[in-house]
Amino acid sequence: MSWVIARRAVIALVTLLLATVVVFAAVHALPGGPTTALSADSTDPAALAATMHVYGFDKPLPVQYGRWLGQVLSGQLGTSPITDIPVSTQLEQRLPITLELAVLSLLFAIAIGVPAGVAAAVRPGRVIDWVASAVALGGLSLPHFWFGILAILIFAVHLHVLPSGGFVPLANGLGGNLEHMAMPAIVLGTGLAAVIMRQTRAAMIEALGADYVRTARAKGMREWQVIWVHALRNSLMIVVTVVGLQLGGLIAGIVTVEEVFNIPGIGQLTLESVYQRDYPTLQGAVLLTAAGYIIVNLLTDVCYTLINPRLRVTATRGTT
Amino acid sequence: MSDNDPVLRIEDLLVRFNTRRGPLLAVSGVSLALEANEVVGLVGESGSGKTLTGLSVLGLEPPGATVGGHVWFRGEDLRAASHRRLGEVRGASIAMIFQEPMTALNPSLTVGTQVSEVVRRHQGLSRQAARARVLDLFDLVRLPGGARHLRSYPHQLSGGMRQRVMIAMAIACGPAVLIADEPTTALDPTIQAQIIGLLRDLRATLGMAVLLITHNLAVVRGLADRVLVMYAGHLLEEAPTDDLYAAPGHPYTAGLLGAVPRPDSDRDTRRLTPIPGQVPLLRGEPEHCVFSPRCPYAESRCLTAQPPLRPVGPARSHLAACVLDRIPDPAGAAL
Ligand SMILES: Nc1ncnc2c1ncn2[C@@H]1O[C@H](COP(=O)(O)OP(=O)(O)O)[C@@H](O)[C@H]1O
Ligand SMILES: [Mg+2]
Repeated sequence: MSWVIARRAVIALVTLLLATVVVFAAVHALPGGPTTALSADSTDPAALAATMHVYGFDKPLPVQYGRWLGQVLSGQLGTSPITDIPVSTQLEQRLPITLELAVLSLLFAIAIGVPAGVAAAVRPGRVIDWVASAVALGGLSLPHFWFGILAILIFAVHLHVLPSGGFVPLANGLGGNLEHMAMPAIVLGTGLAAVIMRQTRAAMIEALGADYVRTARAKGMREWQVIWVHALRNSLMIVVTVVGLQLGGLIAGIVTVEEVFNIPGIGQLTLESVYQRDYPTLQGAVLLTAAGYIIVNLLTDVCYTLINPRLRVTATRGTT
Repeated sequence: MSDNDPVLRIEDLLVRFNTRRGPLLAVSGVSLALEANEVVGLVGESGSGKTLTGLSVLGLEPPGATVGGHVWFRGEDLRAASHRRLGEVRGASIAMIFQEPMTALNPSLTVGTQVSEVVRRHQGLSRQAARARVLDLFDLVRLPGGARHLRSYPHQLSGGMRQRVMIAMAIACGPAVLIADEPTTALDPTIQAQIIGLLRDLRATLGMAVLLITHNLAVVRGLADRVLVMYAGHLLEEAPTDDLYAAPGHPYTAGLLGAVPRPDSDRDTRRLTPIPGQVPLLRGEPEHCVFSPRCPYAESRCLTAQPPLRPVGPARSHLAACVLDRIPDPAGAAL
């Protein structure tokens, strides 16, 4: 098994290296350049050229890339020409916020999606199935910004039960932190909850018709054991795969949700640095996001191997 | 209840489906009794309703099936029992094993877990005690490797070992009745013989009644005290095993016997003589003998109604659902 994981890890590293090229190219393909933003503060062409030189923006692109890659490999990501703060410091400050948002919405999606999918599968074609499927369809079709604004209107403006946006660090109290995170996490997690619900439902319907479920019943197992142990165990593999595949969508949604709810995470940092043509920060933020995707995929593979006893064995045989 | 009351009695079992193409009568008026400790073979070609009969005993018929009739177990009608009550009976008093031990075992639970959860459910054993019990059971079913396989998954075992695990699960609580649905069909011939031997030994040591469902008359011959022959949802013959093989009372049975390669015959002349045609799907109760379309002896009186089971031959215990008093060629060579 460890051999399989090691191979996956190597592939992930290569992908990450390729990602640096793509990130660098994409950032520099943006219309305008650092001058556009910097020239707002300084009208003196000589001073501007000096700044450009300090940050290396006057060098040919391949040279700039080589310099950046060197920095990345040594763990340095440069310094923002706009704020003069090291990029790594900015990322360190904002990553925990984004991670919290992602984890909360993932937990929300699983907590809603799995039980709803199971309930729908246990009574296919019945009321609960229809309700769950309709809600899931809605959850899938709602764009984040629209859903986010709607949620703000309802819960913040009309009902006054939740703040309309902003962020309170965990250090300042769990209550305030969760109060601010609840709506964003739900808005971000709803689409994933819908996908999980549908996949769980399909996998569970198949599992509940399987021979081993009949065996479990023939043994006299209680119905909850039949459903939540015997059938769900075999459906989880599918759920994990889907969650892994869909986490990419979650990462993409983070930018919108952080903007709508004014949460100072990586997504908001990305947008800010696009507006300001803050190349080093933008490159760092996007590279971090790409690394996020790659790590998520790696973890999905690992989870999949751990859950599926068949893969586990083939993998062990591969090593010996 | 006296000693010779049957331990399980199926009375007028009826299983019907409403399919898209109309009603389907899968089991029609099957009645049978199992005495304590007795092995009864239920034989018939694929599609004759044997599995549904076995499943209906435990209320495990597939969704969409309409079941009528009674299943009497120790004076209680299981067809009228609550879910809760059925849960207590299944796996404890009446156990069932299935044809395909690969799909019948849960692929993502260890076989140790799958056996121990039965004793934990019905006997309330602790984890420790259940583990010890599982090891005993592995010994009892002669699972090669024994304790090594507590944490094995089904796909790590051979077909024969999987079926041994299934059997361990079934006998775990010392059931009064074991329903074995084609327990050897999916296995290699040598493994088949081992499993038959195992079932024979277990029946002797544990003392349980066995309903042995199979389409293989050779399997029945090695194990059953009595044989019931089923065809298109109907019982066509019932007899002590030796009587049935000596003188089948129904042309269908004669045909099935003709389809068994006779071990005493010369290898070159040993031939399978299957009955031409196939099991019909009944939409409703037929107005003729169900076997008449395939029967070489069918005559006009066979086309009025399904004949009831009636005594044939010298023994009162030999019944057949045929209008003939004796079959012209009992060896079945004419079929
Ligand atoms: N779920 C089902 N829906 C419709 N028909 C079924 C279903 N299960 C079984 N049948 C029908 O019932 C008949 C008897 O099936 P079964 O008891 O499995 O036969 P056997 O075990 O003797 O091979 C078959 O003809 C089959 O087509
Ligand atoms: Mg069958």
